[in-house]
Amino acid sequence: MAVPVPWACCAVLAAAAAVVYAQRHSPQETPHVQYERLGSDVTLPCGTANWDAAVTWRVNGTDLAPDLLNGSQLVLRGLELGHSGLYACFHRDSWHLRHQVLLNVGLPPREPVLSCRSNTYPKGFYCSWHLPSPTYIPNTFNVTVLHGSKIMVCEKDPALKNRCHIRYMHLFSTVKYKVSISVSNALGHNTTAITFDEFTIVKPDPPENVVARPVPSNPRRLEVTWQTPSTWPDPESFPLKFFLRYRPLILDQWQHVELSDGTAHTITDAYAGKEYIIQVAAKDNEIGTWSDWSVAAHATPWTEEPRHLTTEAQAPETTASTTSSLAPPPTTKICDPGELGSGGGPSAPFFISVLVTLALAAAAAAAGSLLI
Amino acid sequence: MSYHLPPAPCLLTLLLPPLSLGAPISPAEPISQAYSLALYMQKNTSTLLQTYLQCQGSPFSDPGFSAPELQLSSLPPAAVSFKTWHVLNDRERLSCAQGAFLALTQHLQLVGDDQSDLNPGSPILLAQLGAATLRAQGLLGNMAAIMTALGLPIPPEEDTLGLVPLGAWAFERKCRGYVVTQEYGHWTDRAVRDLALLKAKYPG
Repeated sequence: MAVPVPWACCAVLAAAAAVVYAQRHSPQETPHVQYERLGSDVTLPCGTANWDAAVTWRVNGTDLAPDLLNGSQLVLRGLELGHSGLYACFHRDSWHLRHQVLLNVGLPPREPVLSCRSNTYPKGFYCSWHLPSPTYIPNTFNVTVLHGSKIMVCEKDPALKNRCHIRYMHLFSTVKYKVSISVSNALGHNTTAITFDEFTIVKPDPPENVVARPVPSNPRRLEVTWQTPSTWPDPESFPLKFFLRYRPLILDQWQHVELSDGTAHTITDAYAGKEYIIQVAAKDNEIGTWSDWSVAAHATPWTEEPRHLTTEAQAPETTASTTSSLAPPPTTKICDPGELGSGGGPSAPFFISVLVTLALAAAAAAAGSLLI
Repeated sequence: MSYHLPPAPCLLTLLLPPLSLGAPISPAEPISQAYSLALYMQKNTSTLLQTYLQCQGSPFSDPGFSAPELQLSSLPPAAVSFKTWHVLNDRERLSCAQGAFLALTQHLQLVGDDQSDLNPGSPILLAQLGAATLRAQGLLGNMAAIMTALGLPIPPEEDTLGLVPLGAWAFERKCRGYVVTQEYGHWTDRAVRDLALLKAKYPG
């Protein structure tokens, strides 16, 4: 009937649970954690079992072949990363769990790589570190900073694990900083240190918000503006100078301009009609090194709207900004030698301007395949 | 002469009355001149220090010799925290620099005298010390011009060496010269920053 069956079921389940519980919660319930070096040999004893005890070893639940055994001990030769895992030995007949080892295969740490930089001079600097090759096991790092003989606090970065920050104490002195780092893990330990003057590690962040705009009525000009990096704490007391580079997309060679102040510059020798790529870098006026290049700005200089030939009535002004855009405007161009687009100056009769336009279009087409 | 860590910063010695004498002249020109001179001086300061150390023999001439925390109580140290330096007003900034370069000219003169005694066969060192002394005096003059243009009172020249025992023994004299040539470099770096700031504040 229905009533006794559930009770029987419960009893069976309870018994099964008790067996499982007994098997899992044996005296060696927490596995012993062991670290071993990659490539080495290791012998794992089965806890306190005699050498001649009959045991079976398993790794992560999979049986291991008996030829790896030396008595009741498991022998692993030439450890590889794949050997990492949970090893368990069981009494062969009762399947009673005797011992567990959590094996981690790794390497002792090599000499760490340490570097320091200030993008917030003179407020402070940060140091970053990493290991040149992985150890595959957990490492702890310890950083100490000395300014002359004084120990300074290196505050951990809230986001990055391998970085800490030091606040500057003094300007205008040449007391060197010595930053040392030691790294250790279960298999070994290593250290390195660097010594430097604060002004040698200054490298600002790149300028921000680089914008390039065409200048109306000026086909050879581009106006570039940017902002000092927001991380630089005091641009008035510690001014930055800037380096601008620009080139048309179709050329490989950059033009460079160094600017000692101001956050704007007008390029006056752009090739008309060509798209330009422009970048800016920053450096403290006196010390340190140039920043990385900023995010690139793109712009094309102003060109006049091409006119449709058939809709052209007696135009009072035919400023010939239909000049070829493949070469710097030649001296024999038909518009004003000064800044063009003003619309002033003598205007050619309509039919001549048509002829000129056709000739130029032909030249443009022909020269189109010749990149400058 | 005593070696302390560290002497009082120059701010505590400012006892000048805060009066303005009227300043119709533009300070831009003297600031620009002073800035150019300070930049030029800055290019030579580490050479002076290196030459000086080389000529003193061990331990000064040992590679990597450095005792940056030594100070002279008669010479204001250039080292200052950013917070303090940042909020100096024009008068304080220029007075600090002026007091320092006044002390430096006098100390450099003393070091020159010491070295012609200790190292008479080092004409390059003596020439460099002489040049540094002259340039420090030049910068003093430029800074006086800036202060006049800004209507600030120029502090009177006083004897900074005071009771410095001039007949100290050789090691002490060499140490003294090391501190002076090193601080000359630090003060020049600081003067460049001060003048850059003033240049930005009073554009031509």
